[in-house]
Amino acid sequence: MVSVRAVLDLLACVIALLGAAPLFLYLDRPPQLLFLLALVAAFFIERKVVRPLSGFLPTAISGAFFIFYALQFSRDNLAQPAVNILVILLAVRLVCERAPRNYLQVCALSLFSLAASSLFSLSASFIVYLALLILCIAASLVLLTFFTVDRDASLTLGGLRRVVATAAAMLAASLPLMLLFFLVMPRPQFPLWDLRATAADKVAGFSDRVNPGASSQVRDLRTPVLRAEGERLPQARLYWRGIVLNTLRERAWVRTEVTERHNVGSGGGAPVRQTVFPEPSANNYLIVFDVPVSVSGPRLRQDPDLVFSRRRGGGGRIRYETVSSLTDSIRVSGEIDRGFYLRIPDGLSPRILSLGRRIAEQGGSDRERLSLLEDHFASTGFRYSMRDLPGSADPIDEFLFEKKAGNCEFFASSFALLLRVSGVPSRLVAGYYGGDYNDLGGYYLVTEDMAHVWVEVYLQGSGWVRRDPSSFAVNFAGARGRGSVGLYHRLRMLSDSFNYYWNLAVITYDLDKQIRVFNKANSAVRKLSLPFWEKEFSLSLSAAVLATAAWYFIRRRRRGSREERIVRRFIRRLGRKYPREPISPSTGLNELADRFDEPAVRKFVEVYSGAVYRDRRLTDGEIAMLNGLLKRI
Amino acid sequence: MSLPKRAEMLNVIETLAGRYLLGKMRAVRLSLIALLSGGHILLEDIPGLGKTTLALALSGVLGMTFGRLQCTSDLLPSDITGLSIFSREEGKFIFMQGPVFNNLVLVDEINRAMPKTQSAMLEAMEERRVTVEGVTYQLPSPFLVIATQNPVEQVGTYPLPESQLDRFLICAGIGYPPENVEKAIIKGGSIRDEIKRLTPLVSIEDILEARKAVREKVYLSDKIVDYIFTIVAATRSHPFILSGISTRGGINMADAARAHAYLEGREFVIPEDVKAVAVPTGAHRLILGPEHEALDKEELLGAVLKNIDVPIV
Repeated sequence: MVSVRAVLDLLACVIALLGAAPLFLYLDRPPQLLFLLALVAAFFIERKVVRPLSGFLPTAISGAFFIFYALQFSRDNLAQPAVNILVILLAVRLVCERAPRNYLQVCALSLFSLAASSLFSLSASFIVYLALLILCIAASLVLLTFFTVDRDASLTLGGLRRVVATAAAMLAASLPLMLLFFLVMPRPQFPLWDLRATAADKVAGFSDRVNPGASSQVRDLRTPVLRAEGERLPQARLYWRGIVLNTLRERAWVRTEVTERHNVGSGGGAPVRQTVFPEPSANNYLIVFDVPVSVSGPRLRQDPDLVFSRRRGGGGRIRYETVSSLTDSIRVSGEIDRGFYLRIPDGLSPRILSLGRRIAEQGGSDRERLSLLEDHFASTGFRYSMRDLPGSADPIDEFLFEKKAGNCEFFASSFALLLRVSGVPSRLVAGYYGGDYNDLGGYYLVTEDMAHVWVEVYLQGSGWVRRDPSSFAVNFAGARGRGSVGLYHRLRMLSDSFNYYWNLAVITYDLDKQIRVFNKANSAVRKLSLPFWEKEFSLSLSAAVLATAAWYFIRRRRRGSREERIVRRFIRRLGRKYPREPISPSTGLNELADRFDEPAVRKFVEVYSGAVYRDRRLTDGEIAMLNGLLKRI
Repeated sequence: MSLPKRAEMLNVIETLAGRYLLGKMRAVRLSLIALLSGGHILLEDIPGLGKTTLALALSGVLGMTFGRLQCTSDLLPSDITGLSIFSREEGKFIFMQGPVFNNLVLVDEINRAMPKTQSAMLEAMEERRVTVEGVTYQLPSPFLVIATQNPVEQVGTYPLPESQLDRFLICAGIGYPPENVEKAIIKGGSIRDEIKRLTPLVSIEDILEARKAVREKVYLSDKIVDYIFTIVAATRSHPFILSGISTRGGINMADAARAHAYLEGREFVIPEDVKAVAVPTGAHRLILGPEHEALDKEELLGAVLKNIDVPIV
């Protein structure tokens, strides 16, 4: 026997945990601690070690926290206080005395908490939490009906199993409804309340400003940046173009508006088509596979140096189609503003200046100077490193001539700077390099730790040519080209593809998609001219559905004794065999036997009425015999 | 089959209906049912269809004593029950038994008798005893009255009141025999002489034993009781019927159904037994409303039966 109260207590804790867990990381410290404390306390209350709070105290605690967080409400800060209040209310309910009202409040608050978690994260794990939560809540609602009748009720294990089965059935029954509502519920074109923009993560990898030496260490984040659906490409060519940084101001490479108006185009190469699903981010730049040819999507802006951005910011997930060319040069028709791309700041170190001038003297053309600089990078033996970065007053100088170790920002900015000093137009491109191909979903996953910076050099006749100075690092292959394999990797890919489809099917399901679904359904219904066998199939399918329903109802209505069932079957059978002779209920069985002069019918009536009209139940042997006779009729 | 004396009873029916009373199977069966369930039978039909012949033949094969009453308007009760006559030899009154002191009494044209005589007869039928001058005499057992009446004749008749009709277990007509049977009857001529020579097929003991079997061996399920009650109740609530079947009618119906089941060789009553005897035992008890008096009671009861669900579970 299991006490209903114990099960309810356990379920209340599980429900609270399921509700608050997705929210936990976004909470302030005090609610976090309070919630954990409440969970532990609930455990001891259940063990009857501690007495639960009762009376005025819980209301006072809740009220105090409510006022405290309510004061923090502002137009920009709505979600944070709200979820803190929710979780505190939940924690207080957990340690309150066990009344049906409190159990119900725990259920409701947990649901609200889970719903609130979607303000912070749109992860696919939401559906898992939701399913578990609904299962637990359904089970506790069923148990609560016992509890309200009898506080000390207990259940057998079999009964408990039935309760769980009932809850699971409720969940299973609600799933199709959930799906239907998801498809048909009206939704606005834009999010009603965009909290994502304010709550967005601070971008650590990709930024619109490359400032080597600003920090001595770069964090290695595995947060997804985008998923690009398309075919698998050579790993070494996976350059994802983000933003072009064309101006060196002080020591930072930044982007200034490009004024040049000339046509650009990719330098040939095989076309690569991709559909990109970027994760929401604070900046508006679209990441595209290098070298982009065209990008189509809503409200886009294209700069002449092939930088794409959204016209209007704002959260929400988008998708865009890209066509790129598998090449490494951007063809330019016309002349570029050489002066703009050769601009260097004042106050460069003499060592840099002399190195640049030496290269300029030795090389006769831009192309020769480029190869000279490449030779210099290749022969110096730079090392690629993510930690202990140069951080002195002049980090580029320190990188080039002393530490000779740094990350891609150092390589790229020093390379570009030296090119500019030696008179070759150059610019920085920030984006991503690499990508994990997900065989399941057929897409590339690009994460924040793949952020990369490389250089584009303008060569007469070729246009802007991509050069990745980081590749001259002696340990570049080891540092960047991680070929991660193994079980963990595979699991990560699996969960990522789950997330991917979640985004694809659920998160990005907006008004446009909804209209498209309805249109499709509409036209499908209109064009409903099934081929013959399909029509037959659907007919028989609907007939089967109808028959099942009818059978169910008949069984419900006719759920009688064995005798009743068998005699009804007998009459049905006769009715089917002799459809021209309706059997009225005022006809006796013997009359039937006389009417349908069949040995089997006669025998059936004899055996059956011999038992029934003597007020005797049919024996098992007789039932078997009658069933046998029924088959012969 | 463990139903005692059933074979003998069937033999009686076979002999009568097959050899002597051609085309009167139903009447013969009903008579036997009445005999077995201890009731009386009223044969209601026009003259010359063999009512008297049936009664005579029955008395012949059953080996019972037979008395006959030809009712007229001047028949007195004492003509039925008998009366005390002064005996000179013995110097006292001696009770002379009337024709009612027989196992089988044929009361011909009962509706011609005066109500006073009718009621004396019916009292004897019900009580199975006769009280004359303060002394009660028990009638012999088995005691079966076969009364006949002519429904068409109106002049000089005293139709039996409904309360008296209720005393009869079964009221049935004989009806014309089928064409070929009637032709055979016409060709064969009257069989009265043959009937006189009939030898008894069963004894009184046999009949009493068979009656006991009907009463004790044949099982009457509650379902059947429900069914009978439903029929009875339906006649009471029928819009055309002023007063439906009485409780006695219900009892008689159950008894007759038992006897029917016995003759069919079953140790339990089935709804069909009830159906078979419902009209003969029930129809004559109905009193129709004034505006529906022209209706045939048997047909009306048959129609009521058709609307009642048979218990099959």
